[in-house]
Amino acid sequence: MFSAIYVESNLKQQPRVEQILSRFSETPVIECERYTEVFNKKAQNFRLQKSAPALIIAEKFGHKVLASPGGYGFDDSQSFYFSHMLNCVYDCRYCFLQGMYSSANYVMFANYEDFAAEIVEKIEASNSPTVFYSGYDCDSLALEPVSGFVDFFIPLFKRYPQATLEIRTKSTQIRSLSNLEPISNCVIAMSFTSEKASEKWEHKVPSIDKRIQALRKLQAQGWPVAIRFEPIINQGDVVEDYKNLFAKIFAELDGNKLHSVSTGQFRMPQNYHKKIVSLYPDEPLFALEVKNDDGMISLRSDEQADYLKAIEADLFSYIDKQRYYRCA
Amino acid sequence: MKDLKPVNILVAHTLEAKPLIAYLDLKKLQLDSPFAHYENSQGLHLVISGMGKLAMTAAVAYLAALQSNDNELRAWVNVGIAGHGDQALGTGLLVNKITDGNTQAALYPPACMFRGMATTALITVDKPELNYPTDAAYDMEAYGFYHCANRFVTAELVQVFKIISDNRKSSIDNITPAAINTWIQSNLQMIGELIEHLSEELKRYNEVYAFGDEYQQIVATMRMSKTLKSQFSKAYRRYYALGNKDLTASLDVENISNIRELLAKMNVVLKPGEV
Repeated sequence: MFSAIYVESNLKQQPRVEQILSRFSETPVIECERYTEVFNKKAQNFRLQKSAPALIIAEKFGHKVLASPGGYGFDDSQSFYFSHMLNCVYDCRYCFLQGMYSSANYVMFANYEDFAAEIVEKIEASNSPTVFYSGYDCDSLALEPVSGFVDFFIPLFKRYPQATLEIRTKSTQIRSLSNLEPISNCVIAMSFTSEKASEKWEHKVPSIDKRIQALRKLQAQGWPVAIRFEPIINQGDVVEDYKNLFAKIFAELDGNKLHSVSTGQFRMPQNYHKKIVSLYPDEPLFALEVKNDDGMISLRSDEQADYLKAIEADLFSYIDKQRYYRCA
Repeated sequence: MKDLKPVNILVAHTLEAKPLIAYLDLKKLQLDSPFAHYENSQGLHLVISGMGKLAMTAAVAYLAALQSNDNELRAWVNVGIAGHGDQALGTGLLVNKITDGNTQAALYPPACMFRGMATTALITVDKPELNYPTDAAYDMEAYGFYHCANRFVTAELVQVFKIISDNRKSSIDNITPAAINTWIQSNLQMIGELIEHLSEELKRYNEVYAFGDEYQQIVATMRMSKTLKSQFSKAYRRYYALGNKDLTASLDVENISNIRELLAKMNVVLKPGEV
């Protein structure tokens, strides 16, 4: 599963870390002082490393819970994001993480208790509901059997019903969730692109059908579930592609019971895009003309407003507009 | 061995080099060079650096300078003997961490190339380590090798392979030329597999990142400033990434007199589109 496991020396005796290491007795374990000695160094190649990534177990210092970027999320509540992991087991070609890091290894921060303390601090300091997003720098569930993220963080949020946790994922690793009593303030938000886009760009990601089935099970069990349609990229028949996707999804899921549905465009900071273009000079997606709005890159398209409107119109035949937002 | 892409092999001592020279069919180059330098018909190079971190650093820099005008990148491998407290004599190990014994600074050859091979941590020291105080191998060159080679190529394409020559049961006094020959011989298959694997990765790497003959010819033929060359490089990549074929024929490049005219023609093709 991992080409090696790097562990910060001071964490080797931590019970969570010992448990992980015991699962991978055949994998080389390499000690380091700080994860930054291994991760994201210059003169590394994300693309080469992606063929056989390693796991790096580290301790997160400094701020662990950060204010969400503007336009991220489903309501106007005070919102934050946190990342117990960096990087993702999937290999989505459109993903900004390829430009964010020069290393494809996965970093897992093992000091969950410190994350929890900071989350609680934010919740208790706020007079209004708060939202916490997980899955910005990783897929929150994809390494669940290793990370035990759900088993730790769901009970935490159960104690604070005024705070909502959104777990952003493309994973079908839902066993841990299924084993727990659903809580109304934890939203499982599954990301989808059209079948055509998924086949082309979402490498190693579970099929659309499997993701729908995972969501269906969670919805039936009583977990709030949400859908994120992003990034929407025009491949010619984009309206038709999403029409087909919506038909498939809403044949299985009750649109009126969804927590929220959003759409988003392909966009990323200029410096990430520049790095990705160098990393994948042979990738058609990154050879397309782009526009730059204040350092944020998106694809240049004259038809974008029209096709988004058409996609939204179709979407509204399945869901109430109140549940919908467009990701800025 | 399979068709190998250029890999540079660095060793410290002639005794370590001999079995590799025979195995890889390397011939000594008649160069006015400070290092013994060998090459084979597939473009593999082997340089004997001499003992120690500084000698190894100099040898890497020497070879990199000689190859600096090459279009394609090369992978680098350091092969040599090392001591280890517990490992059996003759055991071949890929190195997963290299620590400079003086500064304690550490380098980590990326694990994506390990492919199930046995690995060890390694400490590079100035003098032979006789007491083996940690669970690591000890050598005198690898840190200098890695630190320098990683300046010329991405870290994944730089690897270190060590063969255990001494341990707590058998000190360095027992190392003989015949023993070194035997140990290297017995690891030739693993070394060969490592070189083949690096060679395959290198081939894929160069296919994606190295510019081919057509690009080189256009750059050599048309005068262009650094800025225009950068613009052309980007446009050239995009042209082929979008599925276009044969730039020279399609845009009649041979009848274009300057780079600005070529870029203008390319930009017409590279208009916004779908994927």
